[in-house]
Amino acid sequence: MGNIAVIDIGSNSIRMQVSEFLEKSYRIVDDYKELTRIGDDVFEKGYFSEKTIRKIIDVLKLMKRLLDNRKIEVLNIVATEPFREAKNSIDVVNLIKKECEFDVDIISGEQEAYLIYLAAAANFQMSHLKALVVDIGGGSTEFSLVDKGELICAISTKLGCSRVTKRFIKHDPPLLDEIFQLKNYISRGLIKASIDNAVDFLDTYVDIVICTGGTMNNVADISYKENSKSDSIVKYVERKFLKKLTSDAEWKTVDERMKMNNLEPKRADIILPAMMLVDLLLEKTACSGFYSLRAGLRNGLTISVLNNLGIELPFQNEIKDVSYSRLIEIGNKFSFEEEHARHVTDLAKIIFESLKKPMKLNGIHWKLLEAASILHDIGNYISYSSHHKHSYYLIKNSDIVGFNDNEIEMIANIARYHRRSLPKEGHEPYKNLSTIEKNTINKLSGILKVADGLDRSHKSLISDLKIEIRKQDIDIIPQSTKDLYLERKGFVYKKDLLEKATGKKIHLL
Amino acid sequence: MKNGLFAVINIGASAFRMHISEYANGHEKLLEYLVKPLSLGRDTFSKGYISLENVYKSTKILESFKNKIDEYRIGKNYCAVCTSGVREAQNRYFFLDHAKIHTGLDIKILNSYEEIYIKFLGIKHNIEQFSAYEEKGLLFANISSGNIALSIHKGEKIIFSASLPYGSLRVNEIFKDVSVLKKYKAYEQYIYNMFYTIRSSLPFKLNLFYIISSGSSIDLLTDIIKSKRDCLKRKTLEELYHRLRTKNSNEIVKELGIRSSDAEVLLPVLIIYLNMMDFAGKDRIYFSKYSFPYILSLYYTSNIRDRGYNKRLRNTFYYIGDRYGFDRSHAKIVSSFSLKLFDSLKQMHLLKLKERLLLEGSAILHDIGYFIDAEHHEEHSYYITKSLNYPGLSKGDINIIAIINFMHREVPGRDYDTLISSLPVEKRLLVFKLASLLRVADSLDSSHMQLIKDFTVTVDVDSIIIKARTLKHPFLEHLAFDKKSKMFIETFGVKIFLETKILYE
Repeated sequence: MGNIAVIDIGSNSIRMQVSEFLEKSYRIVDDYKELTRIGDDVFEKGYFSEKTIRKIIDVLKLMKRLLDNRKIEVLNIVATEPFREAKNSIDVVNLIKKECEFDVDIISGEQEAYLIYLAAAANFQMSHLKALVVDIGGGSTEFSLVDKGELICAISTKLGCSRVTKRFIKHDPPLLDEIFQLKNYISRGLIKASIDNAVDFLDTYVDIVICTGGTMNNVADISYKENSKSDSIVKYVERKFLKKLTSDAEWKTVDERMKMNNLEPKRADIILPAMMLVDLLLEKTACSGFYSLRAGLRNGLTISVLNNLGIELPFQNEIKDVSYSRLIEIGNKFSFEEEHARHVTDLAKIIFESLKKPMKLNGIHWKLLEAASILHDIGNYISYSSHHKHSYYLIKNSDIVGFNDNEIEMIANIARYHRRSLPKEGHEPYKNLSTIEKNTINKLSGILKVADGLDRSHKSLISDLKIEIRKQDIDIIPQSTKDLYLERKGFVYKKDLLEKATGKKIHLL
Repeated sequence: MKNGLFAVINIGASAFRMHISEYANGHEKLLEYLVKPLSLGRDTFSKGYISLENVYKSTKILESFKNKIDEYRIGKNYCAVCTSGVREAQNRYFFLDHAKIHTGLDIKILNSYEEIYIKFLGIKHNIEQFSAYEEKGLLFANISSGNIALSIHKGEKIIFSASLPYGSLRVNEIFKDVSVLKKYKAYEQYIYNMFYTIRSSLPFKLNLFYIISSGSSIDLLTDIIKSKRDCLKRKTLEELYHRLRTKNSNEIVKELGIRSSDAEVLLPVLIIYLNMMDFAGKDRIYFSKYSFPYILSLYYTSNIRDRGYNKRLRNTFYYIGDRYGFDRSHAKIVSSFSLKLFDSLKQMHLLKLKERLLLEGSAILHDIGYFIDAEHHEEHSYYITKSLNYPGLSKGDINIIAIINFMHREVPGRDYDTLISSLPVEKRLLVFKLASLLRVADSLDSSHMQLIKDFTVTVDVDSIIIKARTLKHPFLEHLAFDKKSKMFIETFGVKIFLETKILYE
């Protein structure tokens, strides 16, 4: 295990991420950001001014000090649009080398788009859909088109929000004509980028639009806070909200926008073009909303560094199911017993398949049960006693991919009831759920509890199960060549919830 | 305590015990020791509650104990405690109330961590080399009929501590319906599984040098084995186990001449000890013959002290921090800054050494929540801290450390009402005082770069000035200080300022 650090020098901010890599996962130990807006200079004058260069060096020196405190095995620093464009960027790179002893790599727009794709692929289940990933930066905007998990094309455009703001908005509040020009420019820019590219990404069917970058994440934050939804790494924002926010902000001065609820003051001047661009994209792709992802270049860069070290993350090996791989990553983070977790999941699957018809369960329910089965014991990391409650907490607070907040709450509850007392109306998180959700939890948790009991020894002694359902009873016939004392005991202790949920007596033959 | 008589009543899972002593100048003399077998654990571990019949029987026994107290004119100089047999029964409060009404005895439920701690202290008092063993690597076990309590000590810290529901009577109850010829295999698997789970939750190779055990199981084994030295060898236990493992309890009673209640738990006891030796990689187990009631008597009369408690606790906090991947240098400096503030402002907060230790604990652990997620990490730090168990630190104290962790960070719009209202009234101001000090200390290293090396505190009539010496200008620290010192001003009603001076300037 060791640490890797990546630094992304972008137009709006300089960001550093330090991660500790574990066997099959990594965990971010430090995430540091300075909103520097170094692109403003370049997009106006074409080069970095002395003042801006000083700012860059100061921030990098500070980051160097932060890194000195940690043992870093690999450090990777990349710079994007302003460096691609500034006439004096090579001088600045040399100066950074001299003053900070950092090697900065100026990457192309396409490389940038690829790294964003990596970050998105780690967080979205894209194996059966077509996704357009958009990273709106200050100087450029990158588009990656992903089909069934594979990257089809990566395009970089000059449609960065600082750049276009500087170019078109000269008044505060903006004039009608300026807004019109801005919209028009973005629209033309989009179409041009799409047509120039081998794959016309605006003319192809897209299932989802995913936005990264601080500005669109701020939009998603505003939407979630307004609707009192809990924070998460992935958020979904409807187009109608975006439209409303755009029209609220459009005619305001920058000062007035700064006072808008939850809007980051430093983005007040550049938020408009970002929203306009996404709205245009949603219109062209006929999507009714977009997903925001609080991850970006730096996350993709971390994954890419890990890959260069020969470490492939589970989602890359098992590309078909990102969500499943992320569950394994989370499990590893909390040192779970992977074999037990996988075996319980297999047993739960067999029981689920036999009972799904009479219990009226479907594929979505299976995904919930699968996630809960993988993670049911992670609470052990905190302590063995009450570990089911700790599992609830950790699941609720881990970035589980592919599920919405409600579903994560369900998964956490299913894992929580895999041992000890049955769900009760007095239990805090459970009591706030709807009756339908409670019933689903009872059923799925009932299955998990029995499956866990059937691997009580944690030795995967049962290779298969046959299940026979009768009018008032269910017989489970285990296949094993070993003595199953513990499994039989485990079963007796753990069948209660499933008996309650099915209304039948369950026997282990 | 002063000289005089003291009685201890201990309600265990398999018997009631009474120990009456006379203390003179720190010396204890045993006057009377009574044991009345009654297996409350059999009820509790199989049914979950104590049957009415056994409640009545218990009260009868306690009445006879009360008579002894009256006979000796002990008055209030007694302590009555119960462990898992009562602690885990659903009707425990009814049990206690019934006893109180009929005997007038006040009985306290010991939680499992108090129980381990008191036993630990007793054994430490008994075994001279204990501290040296702790330093080198020691597994301390207490195996009783209800629970197995284990703690692993190394380098003056506790790296693992748990009380697990695998006591001999409980294990026996679980498999009572399995046939004799197969029963031992079930025990073996079940107990192996427990050690396996513990092993997999520990991050490194254990290098243990000693196992020390206590609890009723030791009395049972030493009665059978009649060991001359204070240690049990693997070979002896293995031989005994292989001889007995396919025999039923009647056969064991006949062969060894022990009580049938002891015969029933003997196989689980042997398997636990053998597995424990495998777990620690050792071939012998040392033990202390101090009985629990005797230890209780020493403890409640203040005849045993825990030397090295603070150091052990501090080391353990750092160990926990490492487990959650914390920034050790930051924790260290925030801890030293917090304590410096605490010591410099004594006249203002009027808090004592015990509270100083709580502040130190939260200063070390305040950021461990980062392990779960950087966002809302103060909530995660609170959650993890609240789930800690440490022998000798009460749940109430752990809760205070956890709440201070929660409060170490300013989150706009947050109030602490719900958390604070869960505390006893006298503790509410305490958490504000300690959190205020922690916030100021944390702000002085908000860059996590240890720019501020040291500071002095000047207390004026209406303000406090922290004069800090730094390596370079600490921008972040100044910013954070302005934000984080608000709670200090609200709590103490005094303004606080930060002045920094760059060293060598």
